[in-house]
Amino acid sequence: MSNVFFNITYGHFLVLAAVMFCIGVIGVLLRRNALIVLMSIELQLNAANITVLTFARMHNDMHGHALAFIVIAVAAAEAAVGLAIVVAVFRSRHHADIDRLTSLKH
Amino acid sequence: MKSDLIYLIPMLPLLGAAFNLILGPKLSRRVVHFVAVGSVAAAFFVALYLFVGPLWDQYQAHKHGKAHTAALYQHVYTWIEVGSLKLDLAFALDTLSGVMIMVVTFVGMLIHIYSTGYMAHDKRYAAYFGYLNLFTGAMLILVLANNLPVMFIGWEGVGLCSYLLIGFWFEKEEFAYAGRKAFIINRVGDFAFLLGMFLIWMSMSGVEGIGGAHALDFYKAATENGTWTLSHGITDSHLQPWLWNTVGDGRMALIGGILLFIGATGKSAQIPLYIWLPDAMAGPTPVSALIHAATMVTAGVYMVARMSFMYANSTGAMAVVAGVGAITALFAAIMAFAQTDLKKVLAYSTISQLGFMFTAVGVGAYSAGIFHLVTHAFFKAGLFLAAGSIIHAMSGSGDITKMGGLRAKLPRTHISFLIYCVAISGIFPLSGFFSKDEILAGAFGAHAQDWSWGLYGEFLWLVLTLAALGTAFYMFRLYFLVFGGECRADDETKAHIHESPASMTVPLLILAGFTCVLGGLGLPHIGGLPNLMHSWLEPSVSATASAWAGHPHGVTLYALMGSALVFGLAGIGLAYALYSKGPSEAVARWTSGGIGAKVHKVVYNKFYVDEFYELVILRPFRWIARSTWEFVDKFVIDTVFVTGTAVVVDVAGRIARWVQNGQVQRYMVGIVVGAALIFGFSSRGPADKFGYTQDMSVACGATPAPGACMVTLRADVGAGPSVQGAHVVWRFSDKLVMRGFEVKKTFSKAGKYKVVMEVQGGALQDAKKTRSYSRTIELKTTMGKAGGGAK
Repeated sequence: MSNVFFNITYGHFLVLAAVMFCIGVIGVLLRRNALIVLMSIELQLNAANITVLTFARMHNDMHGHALAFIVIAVAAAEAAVGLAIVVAVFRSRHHADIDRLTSLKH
Repeated sequence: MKSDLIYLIPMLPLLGAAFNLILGPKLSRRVVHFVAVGSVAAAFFVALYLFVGPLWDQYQAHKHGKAHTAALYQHVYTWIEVGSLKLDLAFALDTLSGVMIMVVTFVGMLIHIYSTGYMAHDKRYAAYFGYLNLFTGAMLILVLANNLPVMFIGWEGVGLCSYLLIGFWFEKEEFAYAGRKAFIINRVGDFAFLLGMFLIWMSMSGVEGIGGAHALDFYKAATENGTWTLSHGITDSHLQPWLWNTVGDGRMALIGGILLFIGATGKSAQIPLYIWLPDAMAGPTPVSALIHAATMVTAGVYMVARMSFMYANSTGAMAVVAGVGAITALFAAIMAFAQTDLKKVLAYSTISQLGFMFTAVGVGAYSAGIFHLVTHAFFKAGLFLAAGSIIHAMSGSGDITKMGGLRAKLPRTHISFLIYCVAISGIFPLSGFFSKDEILAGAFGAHAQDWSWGLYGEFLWLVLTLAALGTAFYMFRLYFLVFGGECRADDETKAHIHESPASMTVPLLILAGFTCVLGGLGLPHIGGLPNLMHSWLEPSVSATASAWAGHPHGVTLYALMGSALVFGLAGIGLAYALYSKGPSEAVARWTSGGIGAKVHKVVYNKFYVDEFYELVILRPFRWIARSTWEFVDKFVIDTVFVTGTAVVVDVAGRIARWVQNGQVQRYMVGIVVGAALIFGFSSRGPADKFGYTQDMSVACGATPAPGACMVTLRADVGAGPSVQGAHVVWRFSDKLVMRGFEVKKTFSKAGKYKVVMEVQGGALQDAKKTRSYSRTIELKTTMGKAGGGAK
């Protein structure tokens, strides 16, 4: 039993990533505040990053590291744009509740 | 070259048509009829110039033995060139088409002039003259064409104009119906015409000399110096293909000839496709005169004469043409007896006279047929124009039972009508006597060499003579009912009776004048009298064909002429006795009861032919059309395709609108659920089985041997992510343990062995639990088999 806690294996990283990803999914699905949703998306991206890096280490393949950097860059850009949109929406509507932001369906 | 003017003859009326149809409605009537009459008159003068100039010279050259130089030829451009098929838009003016263009342009011109008076008050004046010009142009293309497809352009063109002009007053439903009827019945004939054309092409295109690229031409280039000669006239050996080329079991000339003749029965109103012509009288009367008496309906006769080189090679086809013509002549004459409409009588008369012409060309008396065509064009056009004048005077009614006594009131119409009646009845010395007599003489002596019915010619003669008797009777019945006795019209109509204006009566008198003198063109073979028509047409029709037609001489000829005259006079006498002062009591008594009434009823109802077609063809056709409309059109197309498409799109739209609600999180649920579903469906759960294949190339015997009996075992643990990470352990009966999804195991000898497969783990499985599966595998002996190689 104690082995599980003291011998850190690849499986631990993968489980961590899976848990993070699930938290992210649930956050995106259930939270109403656009800011929290954005944060949950960040969580999912980072969970994916951990998975990618874990497998890269497993297979001694540097492609995974490169991919992780691309994901970080995209996440940064996405966060910047997303936050800008949220701020703009909040300024015009005085709220950021995505349940009430449905006008794009038209 | 002078022949380069030929294209102008059809072109001028076509230009007139284009002008009147496009610009006419905006212009004054004076301009419209000036252009219409002027274009036809110009065409007439071009035709006249070519006729008396170059064509006459060619004819003289031909007569003096200068070989085949009878046609003027003009190649306008190459119309279609596909593979070995080459169709030129080419015109040929020979003595035959020369006669036709003179008739078409001259009679056409007179009728154009007459129309300016007759149609003076019509709303669609320009359209009328546009159609009339279009008709004249199409008819001239038809007669000037140098090959069958170009002739077919004209053939269809005149059919179109006929339809447009019959239904000219289409506001009246029955007039529009008459137009449609004419068009559709003509289509039946045209279809056969096309088939005949294709057949000739199929059969003749491969033949050198006559065939090749110009199989459908009437005239072909005979020599390199550009002389053009009739298809049959190149050398005698070129006749052979027409004689012997076969299609299936039949000879081409026979089948092709009959198919083309079916086309002619449609256009020229012969049995069985004649029923449109009486209804065609719905059109304006000048149209009836020009299209349905003088020109278009004679197109079939012209076509048979034009294709004489083909008909000359099939006695059977000629016999069919002659027989149908003769029967039609008699049949239509009888139907004319009981008609009460002025124009309907003339319509049946036209059908009957066309029958005469077909008999003539059918027995090979081409010059007689064409001669009758010419004389008939003049007196029948005149009769229709006179009828128009009478109807004009009678306030638009053509009912002859309401006429009578018009002699004094319409003096010029009366005198010309009388001349036409005498001519059509075949009374000496008017033109009808000569042309009809020549047909009767030709038919009487008709004997084909390979034709076994010895009396066929005499039979044709008898039928035609009876038809001629009928002709004289119904024409003078008409004459006496219209002009004789007392006027039976009501007082109001009576007060309006007046002679027509000069634009109408002058053409009547001109036509009457020609009717009197045209007989001189075809004098009978008595003494040294010249038959101008015969010698004029000789270069243009097949010489071999004249062997068919008889040329009675001496006493026989006198007897035939005498009998024709006697029968004609008898018909007139009978009409005089019964109708000289209106319908006599004898007629009334005869038609009021007993067998006479029954016969009268049948004849009055035109032998119920229309009703027969209605029952046999139209009703089943309507039934099919209606059911197709109800099922295919209304159900399949309207409901399933049109409405169905709308319903599908509507439903899809509703679903999409429900899905696309703007709730981002709802979309996200979709993504997550979708991913889970893909994950689930692409997994095939743990199957935990295995298969095996024995390597038959390795020696495997019943006795133990080292390294023998190789077998490959393959585990199947399922598929997809849910079974990823599973491990397989193989346990064999000899305590050996192997790992891996696929293992190779060697047994020492053939036989049955038990194998246990154990599966551990997998992504969604309990890692601790081991599932096992056992199976007995059987290894066969490979001894003695190919590749076995064991000792």
